[in-house]
Amino acid sequence: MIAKKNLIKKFIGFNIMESSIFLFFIIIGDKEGAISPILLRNHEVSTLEYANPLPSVIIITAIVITVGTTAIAMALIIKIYEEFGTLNTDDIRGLW
Amino acid sequence: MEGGVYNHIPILLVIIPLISAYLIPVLGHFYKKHTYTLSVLTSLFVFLSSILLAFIIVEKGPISYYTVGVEPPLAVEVFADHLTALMAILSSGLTFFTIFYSKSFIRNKIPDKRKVTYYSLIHLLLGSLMWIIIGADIFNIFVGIEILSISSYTLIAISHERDAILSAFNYLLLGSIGSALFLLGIGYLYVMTGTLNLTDIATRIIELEIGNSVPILTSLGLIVTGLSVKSAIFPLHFWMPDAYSKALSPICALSSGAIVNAMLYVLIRILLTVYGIEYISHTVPLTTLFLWISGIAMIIGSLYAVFQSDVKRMLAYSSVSQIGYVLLGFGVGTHLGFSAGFLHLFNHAIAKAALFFAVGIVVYKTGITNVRDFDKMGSRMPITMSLFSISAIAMVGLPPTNSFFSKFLLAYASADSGLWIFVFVIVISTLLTAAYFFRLIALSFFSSTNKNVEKKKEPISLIIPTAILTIACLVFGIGFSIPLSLLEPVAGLLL
Repeated sequence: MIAKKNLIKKFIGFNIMESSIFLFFIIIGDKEGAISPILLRNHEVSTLEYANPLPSVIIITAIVITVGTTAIAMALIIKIYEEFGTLNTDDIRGLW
Repeated sequence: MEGGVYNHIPILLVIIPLISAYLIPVLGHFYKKHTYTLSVLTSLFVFLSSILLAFIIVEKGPISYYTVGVEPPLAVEVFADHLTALMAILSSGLTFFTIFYSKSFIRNKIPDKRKVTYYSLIHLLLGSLMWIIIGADIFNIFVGIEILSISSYTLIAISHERDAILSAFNYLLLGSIGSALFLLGIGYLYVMTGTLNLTDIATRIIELEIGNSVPILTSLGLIVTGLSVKSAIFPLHFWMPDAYSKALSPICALSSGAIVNAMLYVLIRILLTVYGIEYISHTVPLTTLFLWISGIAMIIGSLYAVFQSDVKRMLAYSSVSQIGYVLLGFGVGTHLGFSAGFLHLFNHAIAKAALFFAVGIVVYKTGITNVRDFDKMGSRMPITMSLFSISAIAMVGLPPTNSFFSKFLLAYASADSGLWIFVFVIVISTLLTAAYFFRLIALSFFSSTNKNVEKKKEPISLIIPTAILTIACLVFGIGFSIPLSLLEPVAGLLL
């Protein structure tokens, strides 16, 4: 994210960083030998045998948010390209 | 449930603007003219409800509300106390005036089609502001912050200046890193405690005795860094001057008045509720760190502001130094410091919004932003510049304006805790603030150049919101006990 000069590559770097945080959350919820937390009819509920569904729920929200942020970023990048004709940060004054 | 129907007010503050944000584009598709009416009505409703909320809380005490049938910590909790009510009034009031001001301001600046989007985004912003202010669940606060950030990136990019896109993109890059760090911090907290409710996390940290464990310390660092980016705390303030100098003036007013302050409020609320004052002042010397950061911010921010040639950049750097004052109050760590800090946050938000509105009128009529071109501006636009001067005096903190009392209380609080050096820092910072504001005032009213100037007609629809906020500076200068009475009960509870 810091090293790349192309705006899209910078943002890809950010997306990789976000994905790693998502995976970190997914790991929290999992445990050895756990089954997916789906409640079947007439099934005894034992919390011990299920994986924790909460981190997955959190992450699906966070994924949606990241999609939103990425969409905004791409829209801005399109605008920048239209206005300045380049995506290289060295050629545009005012971009880090 | 006690209090009956009034318990639903906190959640309505969030839901109404969010629903309205999605209704505005639908309405705008059929009747473009009515979008403004709907926006003003909704924001006025939210503003009045927050005032009502404040009255109810003063009378009956804090309101705790949960959404699904189960009790907290399992359910998503919404919590409103005195401080929440104060922040809600501040944010919704500023949003209301911004919408009111925007109508004439954006008339010739952006095409009709975009206006609908503009109002819709402001409502999204208002809803998420309320969301993070009343949230008592750390993940919900995260979602609120993200909606807030997404709408503010877009609002900063909506401008007639072409560099606005660049500063919006810079803000987006830095802001998304901040949110990512915050999310990671939430992850560490969740690993250790298994809950997301703020008070529940706090009890479990104490019960399980994990205060000194590495994950909790890491989460503290990540959350503080993540939210510092968003609230433009000193070393991480780079995005703010760039963004403000390019964005539309009403957005600058809203951003420096409401968004940055709400982020700061969230940071302090999380620190005090989850970690507690004992933890952040003794186990980790965070308050001491904040003290020094705030001292540096107050002086460096003002120094930068003195050397700016662009008025909006000057105001942005002034915000950097004023945020330092709030942090100083928090860093002192006493009841008095906390109240004084938040009182200053309240006063600064009103005065800074009035200043941005006044500069907006100048930009609207003449397009001038350079400090040197303000020569004789007092004769060209007398009402605007008078309002600007009064709010500038409020910013400097001369009696009887509002900032005088908050600065005085801050100085008293730091002297009370034996931190004499910060009294001098406050005095130096105030003198620097006076330097850059009085330079402008002197240039516009008492300039000796014999330039022939024509008087400009000042649009009344832009003057009214500016005047109301300026008068509020004076009103809260005399009635400073009103916000203070909302702060003191919370200071006792949180510290």
